[in-house]
Amino acid sequence: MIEDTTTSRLRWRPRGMDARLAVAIGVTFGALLMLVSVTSMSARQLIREARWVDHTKDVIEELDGVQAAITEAETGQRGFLITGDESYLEPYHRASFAMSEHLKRIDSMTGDNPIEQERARRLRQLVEERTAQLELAIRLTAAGRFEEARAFIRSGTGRTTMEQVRTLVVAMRSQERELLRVRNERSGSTARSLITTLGIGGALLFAFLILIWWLIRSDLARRNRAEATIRERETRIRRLIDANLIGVLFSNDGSVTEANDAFLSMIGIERGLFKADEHRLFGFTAPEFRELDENCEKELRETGTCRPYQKELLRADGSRVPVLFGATNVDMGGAAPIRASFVVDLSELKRVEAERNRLYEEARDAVKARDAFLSVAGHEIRTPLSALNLIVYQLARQVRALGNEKAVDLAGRCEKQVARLIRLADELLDVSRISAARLHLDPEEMDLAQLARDVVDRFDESARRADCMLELRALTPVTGFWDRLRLDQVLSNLLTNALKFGAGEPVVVEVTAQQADASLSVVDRGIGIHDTDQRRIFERFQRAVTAETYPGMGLGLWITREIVEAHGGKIAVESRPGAGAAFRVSLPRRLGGESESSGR
Amino acid sequence: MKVLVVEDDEAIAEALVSLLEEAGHHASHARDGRRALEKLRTGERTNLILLDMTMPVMSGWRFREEQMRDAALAGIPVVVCTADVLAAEKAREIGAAGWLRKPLDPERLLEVIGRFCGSGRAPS
Repeated sequence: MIEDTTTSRLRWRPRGMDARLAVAIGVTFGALLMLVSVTSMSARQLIREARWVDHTKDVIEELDGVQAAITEAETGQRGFLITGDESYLEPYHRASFAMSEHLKRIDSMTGDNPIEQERARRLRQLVEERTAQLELAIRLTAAGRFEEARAFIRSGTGRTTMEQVRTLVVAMRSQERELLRVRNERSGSTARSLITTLGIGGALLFAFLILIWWLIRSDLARRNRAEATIRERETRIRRLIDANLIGVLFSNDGSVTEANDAFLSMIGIERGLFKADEHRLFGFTAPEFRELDENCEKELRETGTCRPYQKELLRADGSRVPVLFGATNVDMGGAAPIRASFVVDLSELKRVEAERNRLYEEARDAVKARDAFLSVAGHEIRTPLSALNLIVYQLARQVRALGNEKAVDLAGRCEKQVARLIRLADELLDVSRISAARLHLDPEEMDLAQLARDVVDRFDESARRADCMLELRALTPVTGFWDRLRLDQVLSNLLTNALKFGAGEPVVVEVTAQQADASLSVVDRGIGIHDTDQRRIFERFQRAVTAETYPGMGLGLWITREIVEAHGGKIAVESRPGAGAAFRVSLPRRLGGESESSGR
Repeated sequence: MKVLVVEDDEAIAEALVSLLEEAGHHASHARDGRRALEKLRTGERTNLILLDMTMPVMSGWRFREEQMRDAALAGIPVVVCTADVLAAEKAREIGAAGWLRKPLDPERLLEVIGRFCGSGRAPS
């Protein structure tokens, strides 16, 4: 499958390289054709020129022949004239015949040259003239008219003609020699240019052949590299598939061609029983997930990839397995796309998810039950506390009227403990209300400075018992729209903490006003709070100290923060261990335009 | 000052009656809204009603509706006594003259009742 991809990629990719190679080969062929045609033309030219050279040489030979024939004829005639022996006439006749043949050939050979043609004509005249002269002397001699013959010879006519012949032949020969020189030169230059052409053409061809060789070699190297890369990639993919971390399937036209062990074990088919092309890619899906498969199929057709989705597969034994399924087309061409699908078994994940959900439900129910219990307990405790509070109040009054000091002291303690119980019950109720986001505010126009004075007065005795000097800095009224009882609770909580953890040291309460906000701070010089605990102390049931040293439920600061935040304010602490703590509350003077606000 | 305590919890009711008597008021008790209406209609003179809201038989809301319907009783001021944090809201809803949250603070209770002394009518 992956090899198919490889070949198709190789078939496609180096198109640029092929074009270059084709151009180089084309150019080389063109150059070769040109070289062949130029060479053949030059060769033909050379042959033509060689023919002309031969021709010229032939003409010269014929001229020499004419001259020799005349000489031979003269020699024969002379022999006859001297001896009267007719046998001497035989070479004369032969020469006469040869002369006429030579002249005929010269005639035809000089047809291309008008000057030489004219000269040839003249030569024929002169030769005929000379032949006639020789003939005349022979005829006179043969007739026994020796004196007439001698007189004719002595007249010098023959010699003059012969001179003319010789001069003409010399002229013609020199003309032909000149032609021979010119033709030789031309032939030489043609031969040289042919050699040059052959040399340059050969060098060019050689260069082109080297270029072609180089192109083929680099193309091959590139192909080899590409193949190596693809082989490496294939090895990696193969390793991934064989690692069986996830199920992998290959399919062709919807038919499964290959599946790894991880997938087979997921659907419970043994390797030996799995046969390629016997299963459909979407044939394992449980019926109610078929629509998702159709969407996947559509996505594959349109984009080539189907994003992972969850479904359930039917195992061989009829049970189901939840999986994450994704697929992608892995080849580019072809009518039926080859697809790779990835299947991740979600059984364990689903189990953990279900377990987590169960634990979450349990925890949520437990929290609900706790808050409900706190609410009911708070209310139930408050009813007897309400009665107890009234009874103890009256008891204390009665005891005070009786004047028994010990009894008065005990009654006072009773009152305080009841007040403490009421506060604790209130805290429990607050926890359930805040948890259920039911913290209710009853805001009214009030003076925070006055409230601070009231609370500080109320804490006067507690401060004395804790050996703390309690100082209030609230010079001007600081008015705002707040829930009086809740802010009383905030300051009371902060002061209770300050006296608890800062016993024996002064405690300062300060109220100041800015444009839109009011600030309330409580500063002690007590044991302080470590950095790591500073955020934690505002959380529910969180304490920076152990219950053995400083008892408490760890609710005060959490409730305080909730009340402050329900007012749209903020609370922060600055502290170092051993250097005391400063709690600073800032409150917007208006509740965002609302006349009332709940803690929601 | 004659005060009617409408409260289903006996202990609270007794403590309240005792406290009010101690403070010099006349106090009587009704266990629910219906008994309270009966007491009022039998001609028991009353200046102020301390009304619990959550009660069996007849709740504080129902009692208040009946009271308002009865012209002879409608004028008697009512102070709501409830453990609910929404005490103020409840008081406004039923048009009460005042409200107190449980557990009741005895001094605040006496202060609120004191405000109705003399006039016999609720300051609004």
